[in-house]
Amino acid sequence: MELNEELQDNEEQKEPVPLSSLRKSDQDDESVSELEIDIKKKQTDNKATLNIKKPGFIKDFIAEPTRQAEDYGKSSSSSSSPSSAPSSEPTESVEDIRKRLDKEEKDEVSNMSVEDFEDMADFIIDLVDMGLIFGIRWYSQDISDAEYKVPEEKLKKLKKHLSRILMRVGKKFPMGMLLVLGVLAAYATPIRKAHEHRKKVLAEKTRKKLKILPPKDESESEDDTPPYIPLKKRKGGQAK
Amino acid sequence: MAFRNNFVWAFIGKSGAGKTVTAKQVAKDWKSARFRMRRRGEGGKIFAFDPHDAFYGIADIKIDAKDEDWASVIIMEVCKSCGKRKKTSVCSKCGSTKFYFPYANSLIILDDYRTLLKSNQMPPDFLDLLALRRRLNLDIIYMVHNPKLILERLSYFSTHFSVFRTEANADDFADKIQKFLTCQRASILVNAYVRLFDEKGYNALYPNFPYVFVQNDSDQLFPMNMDEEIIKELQLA
Repeated sequence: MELNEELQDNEEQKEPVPLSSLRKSDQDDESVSELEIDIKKKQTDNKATLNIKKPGFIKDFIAEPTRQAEDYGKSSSSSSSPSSAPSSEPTESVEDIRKRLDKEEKDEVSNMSVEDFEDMADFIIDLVDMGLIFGIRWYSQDISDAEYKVPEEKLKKLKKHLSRILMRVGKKFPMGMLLVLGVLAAYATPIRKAHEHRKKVLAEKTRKKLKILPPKDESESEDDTPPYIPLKKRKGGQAK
Repeated sequence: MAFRNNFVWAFIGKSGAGKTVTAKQVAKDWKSARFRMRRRGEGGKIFAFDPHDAFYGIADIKIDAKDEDWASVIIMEVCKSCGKRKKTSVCSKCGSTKFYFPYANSLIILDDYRTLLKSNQMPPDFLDLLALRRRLNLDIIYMVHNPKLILERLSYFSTHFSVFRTEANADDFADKIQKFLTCQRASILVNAYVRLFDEKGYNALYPNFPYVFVQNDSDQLFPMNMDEEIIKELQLA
């Protein structure tokens, strides 16, 4: 019994192991830090060894296969760009991307202010006005400078209506195409006038040319042909 | 299967040392080793900035000194369906998200590359190219007359050096190359070897000009096109 009690006492008295002892002792660290690494000495002591290879060594080295480019001929991930780091996030599908793009486009439209819509309506009405006036002028076959104009008030009303419609519809218009058409419509009248003027100038020129040339006589036109001599005269006989 | 890492290989040597001739041979060997790849249309093309027209008939695409965006062209991505160059993650023309690198698996040779990259700073697209070289399987060879001419950032990417006869000082190597001691020894060896020849005799060595091949990850010197007996006599090793 006494022995057992003694053993128990010894176990109880045993000190717990300190956590610090699990780490490397400070002495070890010191010993590592005491190691002398003379980098300069090592560099100067560096001895290059000669390795004489066969002449085909370089050829073999070049011919060694390299890992072929992963993305060659394969679809790359949507996030792959030269500067972007690879991400572990799943890539979007094509449908997701298209949906996102559509949403972004709609957002852009909804962000437009009332003034933007008014400007757009102004532009469209001006464009339509020009086109229609050009059409009317063409229909009338009028080459005079008479103006075919719609009253300003009516145009203003039209613009107001259109801007309201645009705000409701909120659809994005192909502004680039409208601009091209606008330029064409704007220059249509001057082009038509220039064409008419050109026609007149050409007609005048041709008239002048005709005046300079002398009028053609029938006798002159016959001069080119050899004169008619009767056969009797040629034989030496004098005409009576 | 063991693959070799893509190399960025510097040819250092003075004019007429045989850098271009050796690079030409390397390019020929590289091209013939990728014959199947070329036939399948999977790359194996050679881009060359070649002011001397030395790579005529070997290079597939010639880089001109005026091509400022040459590096970005090599690493560009194009749409798989319509062939338009990638600008955003979705093709602006057809909406496809499938892109590929048309010039992957290529060799790029830059002869006298400082005439192409005149600035002392690395162009950002060239850095992109170097960063993507493993992904796109691009091997690069560049040639300079002196190690001093190597751009600092490019020196860290360099994996192999071919040291021809050169007028470079030891400091020129020390300033630029990490394995400068090995390269210095290589330079001493090749210069000592070349001193045995006069100009005519050296030119007669064409196309096997002597040089020392150095790898960035080893202290070994690989003398190429040099007589073993003469090297031993020189006792430089």
